[in-house]
Amino acid sequence: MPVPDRLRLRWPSPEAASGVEDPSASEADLAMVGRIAAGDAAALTALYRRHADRLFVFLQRYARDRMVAEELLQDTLLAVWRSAHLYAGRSSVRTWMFGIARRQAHNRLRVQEPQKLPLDGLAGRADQAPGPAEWAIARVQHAAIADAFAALAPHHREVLALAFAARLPHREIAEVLDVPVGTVKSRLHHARAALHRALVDRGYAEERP
Amino acid sequence: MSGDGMRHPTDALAEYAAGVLDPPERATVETHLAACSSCRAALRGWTAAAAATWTPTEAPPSAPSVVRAALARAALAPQAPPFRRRGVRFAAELLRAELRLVRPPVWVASILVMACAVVAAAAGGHGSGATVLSLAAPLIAVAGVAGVYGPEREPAFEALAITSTSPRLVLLARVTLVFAYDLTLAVAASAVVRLVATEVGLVDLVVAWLGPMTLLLALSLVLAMWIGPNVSLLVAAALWVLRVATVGIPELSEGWLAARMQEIWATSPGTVAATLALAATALALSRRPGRPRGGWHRPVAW
Repeated sequence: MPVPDRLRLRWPSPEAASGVEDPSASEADLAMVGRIAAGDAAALTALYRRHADRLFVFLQRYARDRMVAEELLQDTLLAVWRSAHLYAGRSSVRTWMFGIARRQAHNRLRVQEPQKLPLDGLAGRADQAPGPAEWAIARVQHAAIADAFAALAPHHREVLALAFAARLPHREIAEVLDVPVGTVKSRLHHARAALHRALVDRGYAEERP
Repeated sequence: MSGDGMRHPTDALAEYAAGVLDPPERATVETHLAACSSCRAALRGWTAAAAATWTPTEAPPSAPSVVRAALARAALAPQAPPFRRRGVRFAAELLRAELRLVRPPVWVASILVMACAVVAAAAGGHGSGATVLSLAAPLIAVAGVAGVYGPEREPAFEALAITSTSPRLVLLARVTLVFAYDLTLAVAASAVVRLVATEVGLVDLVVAWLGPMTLLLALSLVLAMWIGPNVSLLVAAALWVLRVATVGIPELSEGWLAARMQEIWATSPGTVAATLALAATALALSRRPGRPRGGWHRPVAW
C-alpha cells in the first residue's frame, strides 16, 4: 500500500502539562460560578478564559467543524450564564462545564448526524484482534487523520476528544458522560480500536499480521 | 502479558499518554515502562490514538467576543422552558408570561374608569346606574385590547418578533387576561352600585353591560388581529361615541341610528350570537400562521 508523505505530529509530552486540577484553581472556579449566578459578566469572562482552550479543542474534535465548535462554545457560555444558579457542586466546575458543552453538542449534532457508519460495527471485531501493541501509526498526515477521526461514531469521537483533546482524567470523563469509570475505559478502548481501523482502511496505519 | 509476576499498569496507560496522571502515579508507570516491553508497546497504541485525536486546532475565539455574543443572546431571547406547543400547560405558561408583559397603565386605567363610573352612577340617582355601567364596561374592554397590543406599545417587541408563538396567539392570551380582569372589575362595580342604588337588581345591572362589553371586545379583537390594533380602536371608539350620543343627546335619541345602537347595547340572543361568531373568528385567526396585515409591523403615528 502506498504510504504518502508523513508528518510527525507534535504531541505534548506527558511531563509537559498535567490534566490534574489544582485544588486552589477549583476554588477559584467555584467563586466565579457564584458571581456568575449573581449576574457578574466579568466572572463569566474569567471562567471562559480558564477553560476555553480545553472546551474548544473538545468541541472542535467532537463537532468536526470549527464554525460549529465556535457556535457551540457560545451556546455553552449562554447555558452557563443561565444555569449558574443551578450549579449544585456535585462535580467540579470544569466537569459541569464539559457536561453542558456536551449536551449542547448533542442537541445540535443529533439533527445533523448521518446514520451510524459501518466502522462502528467493525470496532468490536478489531478489538478481538491482537492488542494495541500490534499497531503503530508513526507519522501520518494531518488531513488523513482528521478524515479517519471524523468517520468515527459520535460516542467514540466524544470519549477520545475528552481523553486526548480536552485531556480530562477518566474520573472526570465518567462524570461528564454520567457513566462508571469502567465504562469510560472500555469505551475508550473500543474507540481507539475503531480509530485504528479507520486509519488502516485509509492506508495510514499498518495492521501487523 | 509477561508472566513474570509484575503488576502491569494497563489501566493507567491511556491517562499516562494523555498526560493527566499526578506525579507519583506517573513515576510508578515510568518505572514499570522502563522494565516492560509489552507495556511500552501498549503505550505506543495509546500515544498514537492521542496524537490522532489531538491534531493541532486553532485557538478559541477571544473571551470578550464570545461573552458579548452569549450575553446578547441571553438578553434578547427570553429563556424558553421546554413546553409543548399546544395544550393546557402551554396555555398556562403563556398566560403567566403575558401577565408580566401587560403594562401597569392598562390595569390602572381600567380601574380608574370603573371607579369614575361608580361615582357617576351613584351621583346620577334613579335609573342611571345601568346606563353608566353599560357605557363604562365596554370602554375599558376595548381600551384594554388596544392597550395590550401593537409594536409601539410592546415592551418586549424585539424578543416577541423572534419567538415561535404567533403574535395573534399572544394577543389572544393577553386579551383573555384583560377580559378576566375587566369582568371582575365590572362585577365589583355593579355590586357597589347595587348597594347605593337599591332599586335596581344586581342581575339587571350585569345584563346591562355584559352584552355590549363582550360584543365590543370580540369585535375589536377580530379587527386587531385581522387589520391592526389602531383600526380596531378606531372602530370601537366610533361605536362607543355613537352610543353615548344616542343616549345623551335628545335630538339623536330617536330614529334609525338610535334603534341600531339600542340593538347592539343589549344582552340579547342577537348580541350573544354575534359575540360567539366573532370569538370563533378570533380563534380561527389565532391558529393561522403569520402576522396580521397592516398595523402590526408598522409603528403607526397618530
